[in-house]
Amino acid sequence: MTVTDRPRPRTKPPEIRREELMDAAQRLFLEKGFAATSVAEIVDAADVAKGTFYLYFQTKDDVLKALQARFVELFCERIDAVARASASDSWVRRLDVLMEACVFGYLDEVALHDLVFHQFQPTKRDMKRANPLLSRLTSFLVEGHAAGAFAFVDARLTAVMLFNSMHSAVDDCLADGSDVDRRRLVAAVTDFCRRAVSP
Amino acid sequence: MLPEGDETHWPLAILVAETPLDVDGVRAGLDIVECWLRREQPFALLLVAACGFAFQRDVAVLPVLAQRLDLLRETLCRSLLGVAVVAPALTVDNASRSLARLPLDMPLGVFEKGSLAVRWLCASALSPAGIIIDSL
Repeated sequence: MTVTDRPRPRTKPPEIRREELMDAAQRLFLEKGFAATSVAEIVDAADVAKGTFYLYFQTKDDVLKALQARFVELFCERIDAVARASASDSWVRRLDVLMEACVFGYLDEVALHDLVFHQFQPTKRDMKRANPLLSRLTSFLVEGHAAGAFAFVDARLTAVMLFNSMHSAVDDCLADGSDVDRRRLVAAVTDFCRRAVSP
Repeated sequence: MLPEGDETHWPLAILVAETPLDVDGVRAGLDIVECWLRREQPFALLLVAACGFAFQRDVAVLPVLAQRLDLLRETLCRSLLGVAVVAPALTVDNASRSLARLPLDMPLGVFEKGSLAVRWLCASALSPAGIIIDSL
């Protein structure tokens, strides 16, 4: 008979306990890999009993989905903060800052990115389509277009191509190892993006 | 794999079955429930069937369960306030049918998510008995 009889847990708001379970899972997934991590290890690391895990998540995959959502949310927050801080009146300069933030954001969290998006398959294209970063980039391009700073046929598709160009450039550099020449990479990405939307 | 009991949110007791239970697994689960019943305190039971409903594959399981529940009937009526089962979406209908066949005269529900199941247990079983779970 297996009964987890721990001391009564501290009362915590559900969102805090959920975050703690996610933090523990993220640490373990990054250390050991997703497949090699069990729910038992996650609950041990979060210092909760197993039943508590299932109050918040249905499966281990469910935790991964939550980590993916959190990754995207934090990435967007980071991009938004950089965009807000960029006081330039130049739309081109603002585009540079945005793309630089994307490159650095990706490089800084590449291990977590690879973990949370490891399930991506061509059949799950909607997953890529629903990327909120694309909505932000599209809005930015539309505004720049209205101001006469950018030219393109389709704002959404242009955003998709800029995002994927950035993504692929970072991926290509990472293929040579984690020691990436960030300045050179950013210069190449921003130059490409400027040219792509230049009137 | 045997079921695991979690009493950290007592009087909400949680029984987790991560693999479909055979007769031995069901017996082990019932041992845990019996242990909770011996406390002679009212409680609600959340049964988490993480990989599908426990009684799906083995026809021998339900009679064992029914027989054992029959033996425990008096204590069950005294202490157990309600049962919620959490099961994957595909197995919810089967789980509801199996649960309906058990001789339990108390609130019984099947849910896809633990959070919904707990909310329902609190509203339909614990709160009417004046019990609030402060650890959730």
